[in-house]
Amino acid sequence: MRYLVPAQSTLEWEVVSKMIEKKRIAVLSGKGGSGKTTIATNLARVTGMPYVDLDVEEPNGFLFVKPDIEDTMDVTAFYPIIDKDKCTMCGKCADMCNFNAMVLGKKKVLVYDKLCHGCGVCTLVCESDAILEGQRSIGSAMRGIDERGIDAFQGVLNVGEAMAGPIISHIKNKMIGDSYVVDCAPGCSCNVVKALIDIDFAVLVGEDTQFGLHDLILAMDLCGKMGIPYGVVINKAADLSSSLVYQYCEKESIEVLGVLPFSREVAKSYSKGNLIVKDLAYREVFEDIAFKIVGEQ
Amino acid sequence: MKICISIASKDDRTVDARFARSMFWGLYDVESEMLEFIENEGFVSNHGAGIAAAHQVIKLGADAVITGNIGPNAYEILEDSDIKMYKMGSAQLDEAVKEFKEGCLGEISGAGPKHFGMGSSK
Repeated sequence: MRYLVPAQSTLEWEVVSKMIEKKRIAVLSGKGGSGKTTIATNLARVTGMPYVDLDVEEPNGFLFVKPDIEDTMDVTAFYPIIDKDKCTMCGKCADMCNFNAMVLGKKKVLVYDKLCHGCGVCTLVCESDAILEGQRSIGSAMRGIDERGIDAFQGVLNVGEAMAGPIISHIKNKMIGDSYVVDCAPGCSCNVVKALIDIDFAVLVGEDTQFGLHDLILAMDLCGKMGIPYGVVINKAADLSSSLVYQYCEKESIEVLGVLPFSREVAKSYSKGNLIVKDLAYREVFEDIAFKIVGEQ
Repeated sequence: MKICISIASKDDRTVDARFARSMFWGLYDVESEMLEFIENEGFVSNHGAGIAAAHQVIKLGADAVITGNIGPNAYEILEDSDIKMYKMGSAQLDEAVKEFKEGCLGEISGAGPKHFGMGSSK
């Protein structure tokens, strides 16, 4: 039986003693700016689960979680280094590269590190042993602890890099346990897919607008394809009678985990870097969301 | 000598200003005066279009290209391979060839902005 310690008052910040066991939760939305980080940070706070920011191109969760950073690890990616003495200029590596990362120029093989996906095919097809496996730094992975002593993680991709995958994989495979709340990148492409691998339950944040609904449906489609059960949190919600997202969920029998009405107060609190479960009376809303997620198994 | 001209379509043969993202090359052999149309590999690339396009130009054995803008990656490759780069304003392919033969075309002296060929830059 899992339960959450109810808050005494919004001013007392107790550690919630029972964490949801073995529950890997991810928060995604499709549309950017719909409220993923708001939902993810506050949900993590209320449940006492570690917060994991996998929007490595633009991590922002730590603004709210404010952890003391304890570990920072450099994350590297493979790239090919051509040994010019051994290279015969046969061009096989460039021909085989699926990602246009190598070109046989007139004088040498040109390598475009940032396009390299690390598949290693070039090293396999080179018949002169002229390709060395280099590693280059693409970003970092950090672990910190918040004011209650609970872990928080984030990945940071270096500016100018295109490949976020290795950082996301590094954090998931080497750093976090099996109980956490992941804050995904916006959209539904590679960065999000990578973050969703092995997730038990997805919280889809539906911004209550036409764009929000459009992209929410894409996110649902993605979860469906990956076999991940999900529920929807409606954010910046209109009255339910005119709520686009609510009506869609009703029509399609999709579970609504919670509703956060559009509120200037929330925006103000957020803009100061506050967690709304601490600052305003939103704790119950998030506790209800957590209860519903726990019930989903 | 072969020259590679970036064009939008085989029918109207207008020179396309976008090197990597043009749909076709007009490959013109100066000696034989033969013209061949080839699909640009950069056009279909998700990433590295400039690289794919420049790489293809090398494979086609071209000594020069005529286009509008060349991005940083393609520029680096073409320069490294000693392939001359010429600029043409909006014009037909035949006119570009004529001006090339007369030596009137200006050279492209540096890379233009990257991703120029994407989005609504018209």
